[in-house]
Amino acid sequence: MTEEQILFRGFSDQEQSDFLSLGEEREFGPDEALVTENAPGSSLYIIRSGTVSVEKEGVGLTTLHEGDILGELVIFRPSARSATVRALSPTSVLEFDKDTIMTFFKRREERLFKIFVINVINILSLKLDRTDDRIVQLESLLTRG
Amino acid sequence: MHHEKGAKMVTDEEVLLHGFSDEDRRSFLAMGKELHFEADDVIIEESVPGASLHVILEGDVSVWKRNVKLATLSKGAVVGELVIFRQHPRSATVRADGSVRTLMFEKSDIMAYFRWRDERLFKILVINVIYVLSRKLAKASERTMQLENRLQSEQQKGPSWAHTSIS
Repeated sequence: MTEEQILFRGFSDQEQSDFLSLGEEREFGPDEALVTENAPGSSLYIIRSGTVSVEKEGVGLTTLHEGDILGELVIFRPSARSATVRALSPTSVLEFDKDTIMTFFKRREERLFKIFVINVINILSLKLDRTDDRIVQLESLLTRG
Repeated sequence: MHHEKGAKMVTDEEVLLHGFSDEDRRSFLAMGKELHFEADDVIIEESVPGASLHVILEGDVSVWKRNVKLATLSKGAVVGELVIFRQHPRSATVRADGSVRTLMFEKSDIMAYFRWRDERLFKILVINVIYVLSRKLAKASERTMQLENRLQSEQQKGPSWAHTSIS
């Protein structure tokens, strides 16, 4: 299951397509930054195609692909970006502004927002699992070396 | 792993109950059962479904995944917070490093607690869990960064046997 599928779990087809229609399509070329570490940012992104690299202080932490989500926390806190995200190949994303997301949910039953919040929690826990897996992998590589 | 002395760090427990009134916090904590563990005792077991959350009251615990140590946690850390939302196999093993005391909360007790209160309080808890998770993710990313750096510098040095000095 992709992060995008998790994000819309429990949405009706109509609700999902209404949400998706609010996204702004954007294209990035190789090496171009979608978001920059420490810069303010208030958008959520869904990657439609291509590959991006998540970097912190110049170190590549992970790569994200089609169906992955970026910035899922924007609706919960005003915050600086915790990492730089850079396109590794021609990349196409859907960008959702925080205010647009909030307006979408304000006009709908509260039930839908509750579902969305649980979905964000599941995405976060998936990202945490993947990061832990990478730590396991790196520790094993270092021990072997 | 060393713990920072001096600077007061905000704990997971403080984040989890942030926005609760003193009374709400007291009654929440009163639901917990105090448990004692000795060195190497398993508090949470990887791959086994669990239905409880622990707040570490005293002592250190280690988090393990497939026999690799991911982190050391101490007083105020929260483990198993996802049980509030779903029943699923635990993602890691948590083991006591020495003598440890935890406050254990059963999912059923947590749900009963919120059923009798203003829904507003449960919403606060949900947001707090998001913060707890995002702190854990930030720490894990930090750890990944350190390990990637170490791996890179070791690869530049070449294999370790090449540096063994023969005296």
